[in-house]
Amino acid sequence: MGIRAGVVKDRWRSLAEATKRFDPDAAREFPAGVDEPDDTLRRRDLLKLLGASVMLAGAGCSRAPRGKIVPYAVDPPEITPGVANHYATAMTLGGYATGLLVESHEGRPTKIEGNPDHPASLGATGVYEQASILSLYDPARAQSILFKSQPKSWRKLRETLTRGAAPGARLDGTRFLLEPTGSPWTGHLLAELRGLGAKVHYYAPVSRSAAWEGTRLAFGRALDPVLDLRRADVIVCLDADILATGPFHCRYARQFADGRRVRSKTDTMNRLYVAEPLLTVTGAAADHRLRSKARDITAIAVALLRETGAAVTGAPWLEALSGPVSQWHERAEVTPWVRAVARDLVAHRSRSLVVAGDGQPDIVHALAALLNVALGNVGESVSYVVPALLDAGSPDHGLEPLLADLDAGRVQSLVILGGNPSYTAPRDLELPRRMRAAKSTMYLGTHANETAKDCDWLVPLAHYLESWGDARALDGTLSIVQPLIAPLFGGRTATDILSLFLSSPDAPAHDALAAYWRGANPALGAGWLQALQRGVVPGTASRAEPVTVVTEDLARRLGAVPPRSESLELVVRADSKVYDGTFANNAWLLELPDAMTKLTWGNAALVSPTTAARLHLATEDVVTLSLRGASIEAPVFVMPGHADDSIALMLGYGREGDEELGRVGVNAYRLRTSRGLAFDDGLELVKTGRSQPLATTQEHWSTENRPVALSAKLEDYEKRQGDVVAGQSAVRQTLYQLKPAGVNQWAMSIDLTACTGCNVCIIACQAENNVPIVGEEGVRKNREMQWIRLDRYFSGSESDPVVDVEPMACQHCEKAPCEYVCPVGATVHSPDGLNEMVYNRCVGTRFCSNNCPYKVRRFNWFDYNQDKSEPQKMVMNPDVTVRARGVMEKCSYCVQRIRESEIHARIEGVPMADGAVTTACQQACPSKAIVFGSLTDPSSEVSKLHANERTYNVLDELGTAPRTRYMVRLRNPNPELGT
Amino acid sequence: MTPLFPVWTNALVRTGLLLGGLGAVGVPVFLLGLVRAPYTTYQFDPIDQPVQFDHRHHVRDEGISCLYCHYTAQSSPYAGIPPTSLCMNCHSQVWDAAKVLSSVRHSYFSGDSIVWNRVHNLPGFVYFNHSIHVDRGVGCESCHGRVDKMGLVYAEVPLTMSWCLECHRDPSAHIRGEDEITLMGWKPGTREEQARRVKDRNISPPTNCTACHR
Repeated sequence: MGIRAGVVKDRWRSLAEATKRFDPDAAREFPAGVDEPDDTLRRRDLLKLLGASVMLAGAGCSRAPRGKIVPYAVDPPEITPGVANHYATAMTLGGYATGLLVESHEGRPTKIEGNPDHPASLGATGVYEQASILSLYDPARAQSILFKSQPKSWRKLRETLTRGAAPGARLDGTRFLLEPTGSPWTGHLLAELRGLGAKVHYYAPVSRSAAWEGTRLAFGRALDPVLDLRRADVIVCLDADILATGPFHCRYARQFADGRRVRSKTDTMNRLYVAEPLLTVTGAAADHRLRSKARDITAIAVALLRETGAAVTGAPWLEALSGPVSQWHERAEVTPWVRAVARDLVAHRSRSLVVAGDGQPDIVHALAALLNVALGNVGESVSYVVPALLDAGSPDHGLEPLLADLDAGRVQSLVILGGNPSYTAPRDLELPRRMRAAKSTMYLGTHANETAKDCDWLVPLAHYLESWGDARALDGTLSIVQPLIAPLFGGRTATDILSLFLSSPDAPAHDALAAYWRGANPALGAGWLQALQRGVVPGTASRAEPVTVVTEDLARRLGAVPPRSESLELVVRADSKVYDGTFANNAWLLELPDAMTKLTWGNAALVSPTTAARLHLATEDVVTLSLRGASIEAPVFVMPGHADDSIALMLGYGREGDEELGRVGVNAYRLRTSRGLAFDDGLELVKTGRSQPLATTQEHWSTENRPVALSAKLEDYEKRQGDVVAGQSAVRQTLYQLKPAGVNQWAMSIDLTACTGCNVCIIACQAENNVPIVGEEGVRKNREMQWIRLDRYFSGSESDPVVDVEPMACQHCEKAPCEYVCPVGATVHSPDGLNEMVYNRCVGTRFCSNNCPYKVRRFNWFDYNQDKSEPQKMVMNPDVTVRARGVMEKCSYCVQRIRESEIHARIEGVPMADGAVTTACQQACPSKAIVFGSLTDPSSEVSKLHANERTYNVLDELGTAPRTRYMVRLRNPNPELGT
Repeated sequence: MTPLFPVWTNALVRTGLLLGGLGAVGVPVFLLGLVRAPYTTYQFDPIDQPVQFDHRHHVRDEGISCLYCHYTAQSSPYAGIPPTSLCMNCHSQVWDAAKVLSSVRHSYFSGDSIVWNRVHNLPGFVYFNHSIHVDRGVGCESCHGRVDKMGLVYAEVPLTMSWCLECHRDPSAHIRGEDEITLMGWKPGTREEQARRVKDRNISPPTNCTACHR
């Protein structure tokens, strides 16, 4: 074991593993029954049937079917059959755009990539963008216009909506309820509609309203903070998961990682402090993490201001606020943390950053803004821009004005464009009941879901890959949204519906959009094709606004110190997979293990080990959660690193509409009221005595406590250069020539310091490589198929552990243990260093998987691709074989991309440049933790990284000589705080 | 003592053993042969097509290059069956009222594709790429045979993996000059000339699995 002291050992992946001394099942690769079908037909019965049918099968043999070839009648321009095209477009989430490049095979979009030119993407994507391609082909999507469940025509809808009046008639009783959007074209249409007397409202269950209100408190107007983490050496996140959620998280993850790419001992590293109630990706990446109830974050923010303010002089507003601030008291145990953080902030004035999370109230956002002003960070690591969303900060964001109008009978027709407000509205607002006051209700939605049931009309909503539109990123950058495919199910866009009420109802969307921009921005009108091609319109980013602190409201708000509460708190958040429920029918996301809990197919009430012990709770116990008169039952998941006395429940599950896959889990919206949209006090918890099995992958694929994810402190690394990975530098003696000359030798480097564990690589890989899903029962039986596994290891105390993440896929060992044991030569080595998996040879002995020390091989226990409906088949990548039952599979280093690049380079007669091949995981990775390339070229990035002193082989002592090598994670703790 | 079985059963047992022995060898040999037989591979099996398209006429008589119709062979994994609009390039001028072409005209004006019957059928797990083969100097004829002599096109080669590997292991007999790709009836040069071609153009076909199976 060549690992010296200073590198953390003793990893555990679950509480059970931390306490278990000896696990008799650890040697088993799979749980019992993994090969038995979930239905009643058992293996033995199946064999009997098989025996009987052998004769019949022989009799039924016939020649292979002849295929058909269906060429185009008229070949479309741009398309060369067999060669994929890429088009730029943008996806919005929460109203903010992320620029994308979408791969299209003969007009069929199959894969989403980030647009390197787009500020929110920088070439990377998040899990939602990656998985959105599957939602496009969701067969459960609404497929026709329905009026009270009866199919109706578009013309009939138009007649009803406009009540027979000519376009442009008064719309005094009409209300539009939209999802927050930054689309200027939509804004233009809405302005016209307002001119006709209509009113417009926006609602989303998860929004940035708190940030806008916070800046209004601090600066007197609603603004959006835009961060620049490259300019911050000390970053403090107050319940802000900036690395994995929010509109700019890909950009922030890249910038954060750029501040930590230590290549030699002279390189510096930023430092991240996080205070948060539940363990997030950002929290796991933190150098110091403080567990805190969501409610107590305000006190921590005030304390930070108090401590920082004491060291900062020359700001009169600080003195004005010193009175109210002094009334606050944080919990005594957090004071040393706060003091140390404040000292670090002050020491890095104008090179620091304080960020508040969207789940925190406006006052925390205001305090973060004040801290940034006091520390001189504004204009450096943070700038404030006018929000890109329409009517941001106005009372139109929120349901209350609409509900008041409904109750007063002022609403003739209510037009809901997108979202799912019946499901997501705060329970106490009783939106479904009060909506009935409108004479007619129309819903433009993706599915016949909860809202569709409450509305007269349902119009299918077009997917963004089927729509023309425009969108703006957090910093204001404009993108044109162009469709990749005509609507599969007759979907319509919000602008289609809005245009119905206006003068030219049925103009083609592209023409209307282009005409609008020709008028609004002649430069864009002239450069229309370039804008479509690039995916961004240059020069459209917002200017940074000058800010000055306004103290009146602040002093008043800070003067009202809330009483201390010792009761249980409920925290609700958008789920890391299904978001607010938008992706509830997306099987890729449902089966994706949550980055931290590793839960799949549902949610659970997350409880800290200490609180669980106090309340005598264990994982999988079902409890009744009651809050403000409502109660639901939920299974418990005891989560290390969770804040005490805080119960977290993710939104988006327990669906009741046509999104059948989303019926798993419990509906957290049932407990959510307008008084506590993100967290609320006074939760009561009662054990029911029942238990419910959860599908979590945290103990799957054991490497039996061998040290695989290494980490070290920066100071140790600097002091003892070369020692961080001792014992791995020795040159191995071998009789065999390992690397044939003249051929590219493919290899990968994964920097654990940069990796945040955000999960996007898993989905990117799944989309690229046609990886199937196995369902909830399948996950429980350890049958999950994702080629990349994101291991999350805990170390240290059970209640407040240090977290390390490590993506693990096939290591492409030069001396691969799997290859020796395959009886049919189905897994062999290629001259360019790939561990090849040959599906058509595999007979399914599974010896290879058993002999793999990294446990990265995946077996098709059943025919997971058999029952695909027509639209579902369309998502398949035509460059990768769709595997059948009984076949082993695993990471191929995206060999289809390698071969395509090789062929391209040979035809062009140019050598393959470094970076010519990107694997799907590498391309999607926001923090650029994954580097892929050839070792033959000593100047390639991967060659340099493999030679870096931080690089190590996982399980080096086995002598497998893996081609995927990792770089020891470095942590940069504050010496003042220890650990 | 009377034997338990009559003597003639000895012959039965011997015959049974012999047949069993022959079967143990014969059945696998038969099956291995079967998968390579033209019956299974459809080799030499002319396939009827919805349009009476005659390559003899178009290639030999009219001298139209293969690449005029199969124009993606140099740029795509697929050589491509031409769109109907390409047929109409000529047939809007010549034979524009011919009865045999009515289905072509119907396709062009209605937008419905002509559904052709596949002749060269590779399994789904094989990723063959036309463009690299054409670029490296493998002629159309090497795999498709003398299409200029085929009324109905048939597969001249078995398209089995061993057939692919034969050339991938030693391509020298099939590497042509750049202007000879579509030539029908091409003859390779001397052994030395062909070997030099392979060397000069740095041709080293892959024989590893993922070259074709992904």
